[in-house]
Amino acid sequence: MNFFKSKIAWQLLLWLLLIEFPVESLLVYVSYHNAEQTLRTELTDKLRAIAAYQIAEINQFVEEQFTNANTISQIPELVSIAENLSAPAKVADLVKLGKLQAQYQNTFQKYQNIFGFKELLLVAPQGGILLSTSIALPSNLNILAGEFKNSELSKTFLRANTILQPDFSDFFYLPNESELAAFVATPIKSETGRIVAVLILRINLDKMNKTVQNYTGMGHSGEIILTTKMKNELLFITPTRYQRTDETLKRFLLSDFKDDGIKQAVQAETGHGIVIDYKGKEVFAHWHYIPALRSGIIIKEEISEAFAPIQSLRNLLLIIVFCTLLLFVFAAFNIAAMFTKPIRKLNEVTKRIAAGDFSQKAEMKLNNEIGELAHSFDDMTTKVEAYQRELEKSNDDLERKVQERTEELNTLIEEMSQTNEELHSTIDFVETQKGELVKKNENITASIMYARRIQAAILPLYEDINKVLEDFFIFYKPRDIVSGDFYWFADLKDSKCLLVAADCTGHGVPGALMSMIGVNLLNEIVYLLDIHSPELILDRMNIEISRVLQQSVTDNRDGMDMAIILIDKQNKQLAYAGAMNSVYYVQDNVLHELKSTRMGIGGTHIRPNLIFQKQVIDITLPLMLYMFSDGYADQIGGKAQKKFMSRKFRELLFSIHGLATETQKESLDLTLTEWMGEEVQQLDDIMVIGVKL
Amino acid sequence: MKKICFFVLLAFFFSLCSCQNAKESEIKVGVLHSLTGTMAISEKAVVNATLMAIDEINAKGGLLGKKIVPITVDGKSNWGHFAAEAERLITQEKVNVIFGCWTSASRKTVKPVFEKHNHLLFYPIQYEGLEQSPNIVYTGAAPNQQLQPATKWAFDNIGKKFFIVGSDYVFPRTASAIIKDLVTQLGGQVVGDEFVMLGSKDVKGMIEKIVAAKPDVIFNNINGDSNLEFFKQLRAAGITPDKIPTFSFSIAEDELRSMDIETMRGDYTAWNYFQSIESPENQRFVEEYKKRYGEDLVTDDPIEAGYISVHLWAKAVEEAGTAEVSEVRKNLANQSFNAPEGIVYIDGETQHTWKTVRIGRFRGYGDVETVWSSEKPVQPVPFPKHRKRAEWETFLTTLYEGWGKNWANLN
Repeated sequence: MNFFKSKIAWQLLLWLLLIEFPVESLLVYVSYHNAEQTLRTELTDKLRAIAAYQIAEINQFVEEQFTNANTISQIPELVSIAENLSAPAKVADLVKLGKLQAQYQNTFQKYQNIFGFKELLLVAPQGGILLSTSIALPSNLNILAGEFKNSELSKTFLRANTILQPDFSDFFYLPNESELAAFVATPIKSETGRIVAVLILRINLDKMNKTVQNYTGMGHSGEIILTTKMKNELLFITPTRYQRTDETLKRFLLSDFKDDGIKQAVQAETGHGIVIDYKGKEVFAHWHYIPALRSGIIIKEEISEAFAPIQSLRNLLLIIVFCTLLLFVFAAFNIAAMFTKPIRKLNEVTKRIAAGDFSQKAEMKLNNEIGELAHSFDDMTTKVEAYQRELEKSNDDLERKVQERTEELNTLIEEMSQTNEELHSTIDFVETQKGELVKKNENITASIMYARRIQAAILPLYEDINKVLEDFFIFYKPRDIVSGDFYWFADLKDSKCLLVAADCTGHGVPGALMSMIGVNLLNEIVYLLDIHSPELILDRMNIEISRVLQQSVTDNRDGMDMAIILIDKQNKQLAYAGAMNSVYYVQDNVLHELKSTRMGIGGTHIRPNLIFQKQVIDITLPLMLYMFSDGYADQIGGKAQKKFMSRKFRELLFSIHGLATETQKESLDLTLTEWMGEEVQQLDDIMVIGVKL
Repeated sequence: MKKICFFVLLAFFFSLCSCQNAKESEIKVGVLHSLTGTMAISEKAVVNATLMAIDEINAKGGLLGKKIVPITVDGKSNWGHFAAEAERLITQEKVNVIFGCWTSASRKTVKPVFEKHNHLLFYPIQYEGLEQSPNIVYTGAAPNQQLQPATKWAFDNIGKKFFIVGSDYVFPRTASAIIKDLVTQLGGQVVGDEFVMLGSKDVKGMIEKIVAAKPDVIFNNINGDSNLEFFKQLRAAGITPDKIPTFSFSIAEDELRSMDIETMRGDYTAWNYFQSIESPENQRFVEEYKKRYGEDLVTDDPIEAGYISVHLWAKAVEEAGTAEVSEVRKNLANQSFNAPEGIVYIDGETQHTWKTVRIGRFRGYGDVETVWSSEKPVQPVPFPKHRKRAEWETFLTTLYEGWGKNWANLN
């Protein structure tokens, strides 16, 4: 029962059948088809040969009738009788005719017996029967008139009389007769060839029936049937094989008749094949037309008999197919068992091993691949068992090592936490230091912030400058809290004023200290010494710086660059002198530069041969004047991190000179901010002063 | 590369096979009739019928599964040309059969060609008989299927005095001899026989002799256009069907179309087929012919014989299982066909056809009234039995030699 649950068995059976069944079916089909074709060909040939034989026999029979008729018609005695009877018949001399008929009757009967015809008629060309051996067709009856007018008998007579050759009538029934009749008619010619009468002979059909009923080689169901079409009926000319002798010949209405073979035969079609016969049986038949009898012949054998060998073959083939199928089922399950049995055992062993029992072994002694597999499996379990033991040992070693390492790590962690504590102490110390530093820084910043206030206090007040100069701006941007740049202003009355822009060495606190010195010295020179001319102020500043900082005796080299302008509104003039610090002005839409003397104030700038030059310009025409330190032009920035440069600075000033002073200041601030970007630090104190005159 | 070579070879092999198949899927047949010249008017209709039968078979799937391909050639009403074309069809076109010829002169000229090549001709016209070739199947009437019954019927039903006229070539001359023999045997009288050159209109002397002889019936074997002049002058001479009926053996429904029916009505003819036959087979045949070639056309005996020739040959091919000439010839005997005229059958011994004999009377265009019919196929007898075969052959040789080894009087 386990076998029937085996999936492999069913799959194997399926595959075997898939391969075997089409091949076997094809073989069976081809064998059966070939055998059937061969049998069919043999049958066709056999039936055709029988048909040919039958047709030849029937034609010979017809020919015999013609020959006999011809022979009789040429017998001089009979020709003479015909001539003798024709004369009184022609003139309707019935008395003479009657005498002659009585005289010739025996002779006539004699010829009928000699030639084996059933009846003889001697008919005048006008249709009157001159002499007769027939009861149904007595002498003096006219076959062209009365009930025989247009009958097959009269037609046969007319054909023979017109075509002048023997004619075989169709088969028909004479009135009041149940026996089928057929006649041969032939003209009787005189010696000169004149037609004196027509001899009509009723044929004895027994010989033909006997010929047709020769069923040699046609088994039990074989039949040969001669049939003719009579108006709307099909008439069997010969009896069927198993017909009783007293039974009349079969006739069927054409419309009811089913046998296509016979129907085709009487329609002059020749053929063969399987048809349904008059009994409704399926038959293999061959059919043909026989013109002499205007009939069809069909030779047939029932399919059940004709194809009996094929039926046996078919049964045999079916048995073979069935047996083969059984064999395949048996083989499929047996072959499957060869695989499934050891596989099942292996499966059980595998399950036990999976449960941890490595001692299990398949131990199968099969001399095939499965046996090898089982052997390999056992080898594998042995090795796996060994590996398992080694693994357990390794695990123990490993656990021991892990313990040792854990201990080492714990020691290390302890040491590290100690170090951590120390670090925390250090951080606390640094934090303390940082607090102190912040505090100190705050103090310093507060000092410097205070210094800024001082520096801011000494720078001129905006309002004071505004009293004299109506339109101006001061862009003052120290780098640190306090600046090394400073500006200075003095109202000198008489519509004159002085405006100074200075850039001390350094920046931040040192620069701021220098600016304090500069502012003090300027106050002293302008207000105490009354020196107002810019170049003289610069000279004096130079001397005073050197003196105050004792530069002649120390290595102090601090100083400043400075530009001084003296605006004389009354005389419409502007005087300028510069120590390393030029100014620009834009007048009549042209930018001019008033270049400084190439010498600074203080430090190493003192050059004995050089004096500060004064330059005077006319301010009758409006102008925009710019004073500045070098911080703006030297500021690093832009994409390439380069200096802004004097040329660009000049272009900027020229581009904004027409704007309101306050807008110019904003533009300078904006341009500088954009130039520096977010990351660049300001490098130096920046100062730009613009005065519109 | 090997794969490409393999596929190229495979393609080549299949193309060869398909060429071979194309040739093997056809059965070539020759159709040899006059499409030009004096006989074209009659023969074209036979060509039509022949092609119609071929088309019918092809429409039903062909013969042995193959298509019948007709090769139609023009005999140009020239018997020598007929022989040359027959030779060409057999040797060059390799046809399996030829359907052709009308005049006995053309048939007798091509006969040696068919016998030389052991080939096969289907000849569809009624003729004088006295011939039997294993290479010809005669599907028209033999003398006993037309001439002799007509003579006997006329003897029995019209009168005993016969006047025979005809064109001066082998058929009318032989027909005349047969009729004369028979009339004489029957005790009748042939009061005159006159012949006119084929195509000639010189019938005046002939008419004068008929008028002078006062026959009961005129037997007319004149062929072609000469008939128009013959009947014109016959009527002009006061001879009408009611006075002296004429029995014409070469005027069928088709020829009647070109004549004045009013003057022809009441005259007789004898054939195996009339268009007026009432049968399903004939109705279908007439309808199909008119549908194909024109409602104003008619069918007649030679047309029908041309049609049945193809069908009889096809049946022999089917039985032989091949269209190969020698095999088909072996299977010609006993082939039958339910034709428009009734059942026809190839006589195994003579290779002539069993045909129904009909005697008719002209009633209208395309309309012949059947006055007598054998009602069943009559066995053909090519050599009338009142003379021996050798005598008939001598008769023919005398004619042939007399015409300077021609089958027609060309002088």
